[in-house]
Parts: sequence; C-alpha cells; structure tokens
Amino acid sequence: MTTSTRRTRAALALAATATLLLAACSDEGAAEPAAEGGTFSVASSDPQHLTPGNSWAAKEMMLLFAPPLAINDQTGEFEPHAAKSVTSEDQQTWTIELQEGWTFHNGEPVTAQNYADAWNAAALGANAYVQNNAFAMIEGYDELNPSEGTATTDTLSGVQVVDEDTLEVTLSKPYGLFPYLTTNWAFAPLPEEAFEDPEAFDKAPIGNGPYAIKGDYAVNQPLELVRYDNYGGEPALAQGITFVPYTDMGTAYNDLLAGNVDVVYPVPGDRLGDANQRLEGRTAASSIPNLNYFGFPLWEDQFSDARVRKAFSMAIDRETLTSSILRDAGVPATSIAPESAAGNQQDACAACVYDPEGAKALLEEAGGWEGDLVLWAYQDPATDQLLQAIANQLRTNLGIEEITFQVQPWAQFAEAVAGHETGGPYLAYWGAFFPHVAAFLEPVVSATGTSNDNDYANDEFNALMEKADGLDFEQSQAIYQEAERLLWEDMPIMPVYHGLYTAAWSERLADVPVGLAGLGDLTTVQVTN
Amino acid sequence: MIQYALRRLLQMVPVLLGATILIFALVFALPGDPIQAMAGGQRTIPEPVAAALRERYNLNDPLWLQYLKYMGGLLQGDFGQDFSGRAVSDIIASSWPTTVRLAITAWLIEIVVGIPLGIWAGLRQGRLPDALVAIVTTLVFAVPIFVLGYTAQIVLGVNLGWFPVAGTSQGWPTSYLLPATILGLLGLATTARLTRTSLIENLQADYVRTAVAKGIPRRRIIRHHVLRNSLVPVVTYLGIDLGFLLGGAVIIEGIFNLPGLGYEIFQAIQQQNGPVVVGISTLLVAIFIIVNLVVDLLYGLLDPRTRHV
Repeated sequence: MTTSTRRTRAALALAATATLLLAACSDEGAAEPAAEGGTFSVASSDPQHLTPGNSWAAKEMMLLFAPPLAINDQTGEFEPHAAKSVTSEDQQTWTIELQEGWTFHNGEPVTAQNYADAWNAAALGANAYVQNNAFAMIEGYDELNPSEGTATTDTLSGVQVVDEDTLEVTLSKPYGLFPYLTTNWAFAPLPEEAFEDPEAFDKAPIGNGPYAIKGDYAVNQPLELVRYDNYGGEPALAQGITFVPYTDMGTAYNDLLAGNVDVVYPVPGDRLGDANQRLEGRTAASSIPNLNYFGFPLWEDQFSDARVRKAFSMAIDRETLTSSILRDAGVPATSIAPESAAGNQQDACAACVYDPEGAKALLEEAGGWEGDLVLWAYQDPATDQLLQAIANQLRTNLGIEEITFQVQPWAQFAEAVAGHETGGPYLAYWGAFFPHVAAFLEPVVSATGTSNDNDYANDEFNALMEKADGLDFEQSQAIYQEAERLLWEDMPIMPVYHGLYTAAWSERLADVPVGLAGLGDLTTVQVTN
Repeated sequence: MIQYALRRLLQMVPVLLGATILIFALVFALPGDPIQAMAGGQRTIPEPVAAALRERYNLNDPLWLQYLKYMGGLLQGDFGQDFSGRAVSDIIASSWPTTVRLAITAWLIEIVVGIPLGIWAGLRQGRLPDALVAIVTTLVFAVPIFVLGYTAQIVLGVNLGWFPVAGTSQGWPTSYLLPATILGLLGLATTARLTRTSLIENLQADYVRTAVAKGIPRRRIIRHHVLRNSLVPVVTYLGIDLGFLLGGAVIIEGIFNLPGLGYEIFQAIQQQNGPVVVGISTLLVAIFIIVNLVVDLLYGLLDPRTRHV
C-alpha cells in the first residue's frame, strides 16, 4: 500500500515536472500562431434554433451565415459582406447586388433566389419564426401576416429576383436606413435543402458563412464549428470554434481562469474587479448600444404633466448610480442613444442632468406631489439595488415619502405594462438592432414602435420621424436629431444608463475584437500556442 | 411478491394522473403570457407570430382541453414541443444521462463513505470518533450547498486544479467527482448519523444480549445481526434520497454547468416554458415512485418480517 502510494506520488511529481518543462518550452514560442490556425472555445448560452430567421444566437449565426451587409465593429458603418451593395434612388425600391462566386457549405452556389426563399419563409406568420418582424417593412408583409384567417400567398410581393446576383426589394414606405436591416443574419440566404426537411436543417444548418457546423446541434451540448475553406469572403484565422453552453456566466468565468474555455462574454458584474486584476489586458468593455430607462405611465393623472416627468428625471443622480451601484458596468444616459450610435446627441436632454434644486422647484410649479409612488420592474437580481437607490434619490430630492416596489416575473410584468396597469414608472431595456439613434427612437417612442409601451404619441415628432425615414443616410441624421430634441420636451421616458458589458479571454488568444456588437468578428481571432 | 409489485405499479396510475393535473394547472394557470415570457425581457414577439404560436400550442383552448390534448400525446409517448419548437423528448434525452451519472455517483459516495462513518462512530459511542463525526456532519448541515459548491469549485478547481472546474467534457467519473461529492454531502451526513443511531439502538436490543449470553463472538454478532438490522432505516432513507438526487440537482448542476434535468427544469421555469416543466416533472414523479417500489421490495431481503408474499 505504502509503496504504491509512493510510486503514485513519484509519478505525479514527474508528470508535474514534465508539464512545467512543456510549459517552459511553449512559453518561448508564445507569439507563434498555431499550426492550421488552431481552435478556441467561447462560453455561450444554448442557441435553441439555428435557422437564421428563427434564431437570436448572434455569434453562432454570424459565423454560419453571411447576410448581405455587415456592421463595422469599430466605426458602426455598414459595409459589403455577402452583397457588394444595397442602394436606392428613392429610399423605397432597393437594389441588392450580390458578390459573385459565393457557395454554401455543401458546395452549391448562392443565388438571389436563395435569399428570396429565406426571407419569404421568415416573413410568413404561420411559420412563427422569432425574427418575423424583421421583414415588416417589405411590401407584402401584411398579406403573409393577416390579422384574421390564413395567408393566401407565401411570397413577399416586394421581393423580386432580377437575375442570379441581383434582388430588388420594395418597401411599403421609404426607409433610408434599410441597409442596416440587411446586416441582420435573418437576411442570409438558405439553400434548397433547408426547405426539404426544416427540422433536420435547424440542427445541422448549411450556410454561406466563414464556418460550417460539425455534426448536429444537440440541446445544451457544445456546438462545434469548422472553417469553411471555400468561403467567399476574407478567410477566418482559426480552424475551429466551439461554443460551450453555460447557464451561469460566473461558472464560465471560473472555467476561463482554469483554462478550460477561451472567451467569456459578458463577465458577470461581481467578477469584473477580479477579471481586470487577474487577466491584465485580456479584458475589454463593449460599446453595444442599449438603453436602460423608465417609462412613465402617461395614462395616470400624476404623470400627465411633462414638468412632473422632467422633475423626476432631474432628481436622479446618474453618475452616482453607475459608479457606486453598477460599479462602472454602465455609463449615465443623458440622451436616448449612447455615444457609440450614429446621430447621438449627448446634450439633447436638458432634464437628464442632475439638478436636485431645479427638480424640486419644477415639481412645486406643477402643483407638487400627492399620494404614494410605485416603481415597477421585472425580477432581476441586478436591478434590485438600483431600484432602492433610485427610490432614495426621489425621496431625498423630491420629498416623496411613500415609495414602494412592484417587482414581478417578466411575463406578468410585460403584461401589466402592455395593459397599462402599472400605476408608476416601469423599468425597461432596449438593445438597438444597429448603432444609430433611429434604432432607439423608432421602436421606443414612435407611433409604430414595438416597444412604445406607454403609447407616447406626438404628431409633430412622428411627422419628423417619417420625414427622416424618407431621406438618405446622410440627410436624415439632422432630422432624427431634431425629433429627439422634441422628444425631451415631452419626456415620455426617463433614460437611466447605457449598460457596458465586458469580455475576457485566455492567454491562448492574441486579440479578441470587442466593440459595437459586443464580441466582434470572431473570424479575426488568432490562436497562439 | 409479483402481485404486490403489480398492485403498486397500478397505484402509480392515479398518482401520476393527480401529479400531472396539479403540475399542469400550476404551470399553465400562471398569470402572464408564456409566449411573451419566451422573449425574455428584451425582444417583443410580433403579434402574428404570437397568434400562430398560441394556435400551435393550444393556448387558446380552455385549460381542461389543453390538459386532455397533452395527456393524449403523452400516452402515445409524445412529450410535445416546448414553446420554441424543440421536442421535449429531445431535451429529456440529452439531459437525463448527465443527471443519472451525477445522482448515482453522489449516491455511491453517500453509501461508501456514509455507512462506514456511521458504523465507526456508533461502535465508539461517546469517544473521539463519535464526536468527530458529529462535528463534521453538523458543519455539513449548517453550510448552504451553494457556498460549498462555489468554494470547492474555486479552491479545488481553479486554484489547485485537482478537479475540472465545470462541464462534462472529461467524462465520467472525472467531471462528476467534485459536483457529486458536494451533492452527496448532505445525504452522506444524514446516512452517517442514521447508521450510528440505529446501530447504537440495536446494540442494546434483547437479541444482542441473548447472543452475547450464548457466547457468540462480538465481531460475528455485529456483522451478522446488528448491522443487518440497523440498515433497515438507512436503506429507506437511501431509497428516498436516490429519488431526490435523480430529481435533478438544480443548484449543483447550475454551478458546475452540468446539462442535466435540474438545469433544464430551472431554465424552463424561468422562461415559463410549460411543456418542458410538465414533461420533466411527470418523468421525475414516475422515477420517484419506481425507486420507492424497489426500496420497498429490498426491505424483504434485509428483514424477512416485512417480506411481501
């Protein structure tokens, strides 16, 4: 017994020395790129679906598929991807010219028809794809999504295949920012095989992207991607990328420290300090455009006066919230869009600046405050302290004594907000689909907005939005900005902060792009040995 | 005995029926639209899509009709689809091997360590080993399992590197040892204490005194009489505990990123994904009943008086 134990110990010691020696050897060649590009792993959550129109799994989708355009992760501008260009004279009829010679992972050439097929399938309401709404602007969408009965057609009348490499898209009304929409993976093409057996395709998709899937997707199992060597665009550096699903990013971070996973995004807030200290230069905060805000219940008498809404906003000390409560996992929001979004104006909202005296005076002017206040929010451990702090600031700065909370699970909360049953301001979040101020204004506060939950309606504002939509990219910006300035005279929502999310990576990776899309283009990640 | 087993299996039918009705009602009668819950707080599902989904999952029907449709499918072995369109049977198929491996490993650790520990303490009642076992088991009871889990992960996994930190990539048993130990600790402590108490009780029983009077060696008395009788309550406990362990260890599976049933049911509850919750819960109820039946049958082997004829 003793001898064998000793032997084991000796063997372990030997193994340890060998490992050290190996480590020493590999250290010398640390800067060398791995042979064949090497492979790395990314902590993720289960993608659920891998058909582009039915998936929110951004990272996996952008590697398996290539939509017409891509957003530059640093500048925020759209640039050619699977298409050479997306152009229009009148902002309503758009011509999409595809790159030539691109192929699917099964070797078939990509044609314009493959794009039209994919869009038709995603836009058909009966298919119940989660990204169905992405096609709402295209002419013929309403026929595919009738409010009563079943659709009589299964093709979008606004999508015409001109030739092998050209598509013509007609929108139901002019929209100068349409090129941004085509950066969504839901606009990627699908091969014929996708329609023969959609269920099998969902598990083993065949795309036109830089990486192909290896094997089939299985629920909560690692998803392996391998470089597609006949990819039409810039070839990827790493030979393979594995997405490892985690339910808890804290666990993923521990796994990163132990060297079992290479990229973690986002690092949970309570580990940020540890990450910045331990990982020295291997962390970066993304500038992914988002807004955490309160919506005012415009249907309540208490909030019908814009001066009351402005007083609330002026009573919030956003700097203190982001530095002490969020510990710098957010920046104060002083307008609707963060600095990373095109057309943002950080000084547009005068009432988003902390001014406790002014707030109190304005509230008095509007007739003071009567009754109690209820703050509504959805269950999320991260928002708890934030709510407490905001309540304290309102108590101190506005003298509102009775402040209580209604914190509910998401489904109940969403229903209460949609049904206008929230008697007080409600916490909300919006992640913009592209880095532009219009990607906040349109959904959150305009007449057509899917997240305009308090039904804010201002004819002048909506007219400005419509005018801007009809102009091209350069000309529209000033009009969108004018609309935002008008918005803050009404103050239907109260911006609080723009969230910052941090990525961390292992020593094996030379550089990980982190920017506007959170984790950026993973094809540029270099693996070293 | 076969008759008894059959009768018990028949009893499963009303229990399962009752359990499914209860779970189904609780899950589907929750306020809030499950279709919107699916979107998870960031994206809104457009109305035409939501309508198509409601139609697909019979959400427009009254609750009793929804239940009948669900049970109709279940009787044909169809667990249905979850709200994102994945087959629930796929989810169960991919997650149960992990849970079974974790549960059995934890259970074996409970038995292999817990029973000898209890015997060691019981035979040395009031002396140092007894006190040691009492202190250690009290500690285990007192510290919450997630504290133990995270601490073990950081100290033994990240800092010392003795065990894999998370995931199942290194297979059984390597990937399962640490989570199974943490998971089994509570049951281990209970097993040890139960064995100790039961052993002490039996040592004072009349039949032991008789055996001693007859001149049978102490070693033989303990091995053949006392141990066997002392194990009856321990086996009951271990049986029920196996049921619990198989029920999915939500916290441990979460901390160690093991994609088992507990992990799935936790996610499903958060997303209000009814079909997954009902499917997995029903399965767990069935497992629990079967495990209990096996334990009841095992009694007979240990104690002939309880044998079912």
